Amino acid sequence: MSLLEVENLSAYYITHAYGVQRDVRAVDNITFSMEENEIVGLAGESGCGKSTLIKVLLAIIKPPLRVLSGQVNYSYDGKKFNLLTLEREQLRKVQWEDISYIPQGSMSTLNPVRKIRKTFEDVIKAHKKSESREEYERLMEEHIKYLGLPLEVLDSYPHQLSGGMRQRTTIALATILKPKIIFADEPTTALDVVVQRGVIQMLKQLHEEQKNTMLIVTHDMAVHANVAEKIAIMYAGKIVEIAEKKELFTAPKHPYSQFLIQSLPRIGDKRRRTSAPGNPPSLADPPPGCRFHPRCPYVKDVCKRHIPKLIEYEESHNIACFLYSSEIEEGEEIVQEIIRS
Amino acid sequence: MSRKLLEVKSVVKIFHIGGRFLGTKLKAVNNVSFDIDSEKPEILTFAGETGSGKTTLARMILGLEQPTSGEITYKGKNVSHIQKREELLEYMKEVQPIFQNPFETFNPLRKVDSYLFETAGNYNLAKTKGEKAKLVEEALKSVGLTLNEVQGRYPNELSGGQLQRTSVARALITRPSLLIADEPVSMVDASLRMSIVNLFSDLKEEYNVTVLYITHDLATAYYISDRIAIMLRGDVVEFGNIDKVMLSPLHPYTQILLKSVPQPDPEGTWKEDIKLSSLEVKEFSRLGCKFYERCPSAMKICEEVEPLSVFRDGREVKCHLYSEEFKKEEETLPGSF
Ligand SMILES: Nc1ncnc2c1ncn2[C@@H]1O[C@H](COP(=O)(O)OP(=O)(O)O)[C@@H](O)[C@H]1O
Ligand SMILES: Nc1ncnc2c1ncn2[C@@H]1O[C@H](COP(=O)(O)OP(=O)(O)O)[C@@H](O)[C@H]1O
Ligand SMILES: [Mg+2]
Ligand SMILES: [Mg+2]
Repeated sequence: MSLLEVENLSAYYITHAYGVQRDVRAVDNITFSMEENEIVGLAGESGCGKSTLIKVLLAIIKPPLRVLSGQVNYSYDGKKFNLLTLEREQLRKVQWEDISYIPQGSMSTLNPVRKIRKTFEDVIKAHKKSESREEYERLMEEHIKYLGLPLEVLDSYPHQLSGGMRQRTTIALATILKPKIIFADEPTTALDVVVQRGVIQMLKQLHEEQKNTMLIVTHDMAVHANVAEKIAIMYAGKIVEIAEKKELFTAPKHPYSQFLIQSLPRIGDKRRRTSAPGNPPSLADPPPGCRFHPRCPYVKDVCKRHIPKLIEYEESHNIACFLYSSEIEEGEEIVQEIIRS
Repeated sequence: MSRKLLEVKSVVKIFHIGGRFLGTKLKAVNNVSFDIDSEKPEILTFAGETGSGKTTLARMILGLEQPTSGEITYKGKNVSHIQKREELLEYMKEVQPIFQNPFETFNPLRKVDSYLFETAGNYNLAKTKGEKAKLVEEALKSVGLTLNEVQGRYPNELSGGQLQRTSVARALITRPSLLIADEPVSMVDASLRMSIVNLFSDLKEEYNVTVLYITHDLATAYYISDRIAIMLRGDVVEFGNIDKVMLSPLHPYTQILLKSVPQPDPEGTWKEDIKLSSLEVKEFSRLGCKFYERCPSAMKICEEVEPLSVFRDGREVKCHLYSEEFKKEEETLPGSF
């Protein structure tokens, strides 16, 4: 079994206004898996559902977000469970310690009115009750030093640090308990290139040391080129392609991935780049059939009526597109069982 | 003699942090000079890490902030001396800002097109509703949108791309000669990023608009710019033709900056580690070169003496490695030619 297996996962934002229900289909029948010790990059336009997918994989599910179907199965160190069915207490135990999160916008995990040392202590205490105070201190300082951060950050308040330093502190905090798997949501977005490189350097160093599995979300393909081993492309709530990094950059298959790769600017090359025509669909009212069909230059009749299934086209290269297979996705008619409410 | 659209002459901006008398001074912009020709529209990029003074410079050009010393003139008129309402209006008509985040530019409770009509009304460009609609429609057309697509819509009903295009369209209503775009693509994804920068190129080509493009995205900067200025802690450390600066950078900071740009190339992963700056304020207050602590080629002189800008190989560079004095010293070294 893989470390993480996601099956037919659907999670919508369900809101009611003036008696009308509105469903935002942010995660729309997604199936994929991640292996131990692998770094996967998740890419896709803003608003396509990347952050929502990560939240569901971490079981951070607050209304109006609701999981309508599917399983999020983890398997490691002899443990096996569907994260979505865990009790509160069990969930609290695995979150952070085994399954950790670097949220988008580094301010959200650092408490603005607490010194950073206190925030670290809170996290360690919550998970490692048996250990002594000296032990906490040692763990904390070792980790901070190992990651190349000055020890002074521990005695600072979040606002006293620069954006880059704060982001690196958040990463240190998320990894203090040596998690099995880390989900990082846009860890480098809005940082300048030099700081961005420092953050990537740090993630790679952690991966070397802790051997954890990482899912890194960013819309910046150049960042993926430098960290990911495998890349998943998301479009309008669905994963449309997964491939080894090199394969994805040199031979993308899905028409959307092709647009994405072709449009990337490169220093030293000024040829005109064009991006996909049209606009991404609203997830509250996605087009029928393949979500990309209204913008696709190869659209066929079937694309307008059916959703293509994500199939294994070649070894470790999965594609959801009728250009490569005629398999139709099941699940449109899945009974929408409500797992959590 | 060609006429100048914009001239920035030895501009300095000092902020007092932590109280005017007891606190320290921070030179956010240090002696910056450049000009833009009015006959030759261009895309001029200001790049550099966060906190290097880019936004402060932009705000001074927009007249939102006064320089501590030096002057900024637009078509020969000193921007700081604009006082009369009509003059200010005239200036704002010609020089328009575009901001970073389209989702913050627009109030979620206000219909998007109201911003466009408001701008059309503010500058006495049109009187009747019909005239205004015509202006709005034209501006939207130049960014590839129609009034139909945005009319009556709230920001959350448009995609990020449509919103950022709308904010460019708003800036175009007054038919400006100069757009000041402060990190207009830093919050948007790759495909949208390209459509916005392509739009800037088209505006330059078709409508003779000059764009001051502030960014830390060096890949798009290379793709659209004619010239580039690299800023570091208030200094412009290298400035000139885009190909010269980006393909054969001279300043050690430009070199590191360019090496840090992640390339969308699966083979091009970075090998060596880099040194990050520790404390911003400390670097700002350095006597010598601001890059001294992080520079792999730092010399003794760099610690104490601020380098002068010199002209080398088609660009200006502010570094002792290239300054005359250093060359002279080097010439007297024993055993050298
Ligand atoms: N709390 C919410 N209520 C309703 N819709 C939401 C909420 N949060 C996000 N969405 C919508 O869900 C979709 C996916 O959002 P998100 O997962 O944040 O995308 P990404 O991370 O790829 O930018 C978007 O259309 C967004 O507007
Ligand atoms: N109003 C202000 N008061 C004090 N310091 C400021 C002010 N505005 C900017 N600064 C400081 O000036 C420096 C340059 O900032 P800024 O121009 O925003 O840089 P950039 O846009 O390149 O990130 C930073 O150290 C910033 O903190
Ligand atoms: Mg997100
Ligand atoms: Mg800025």
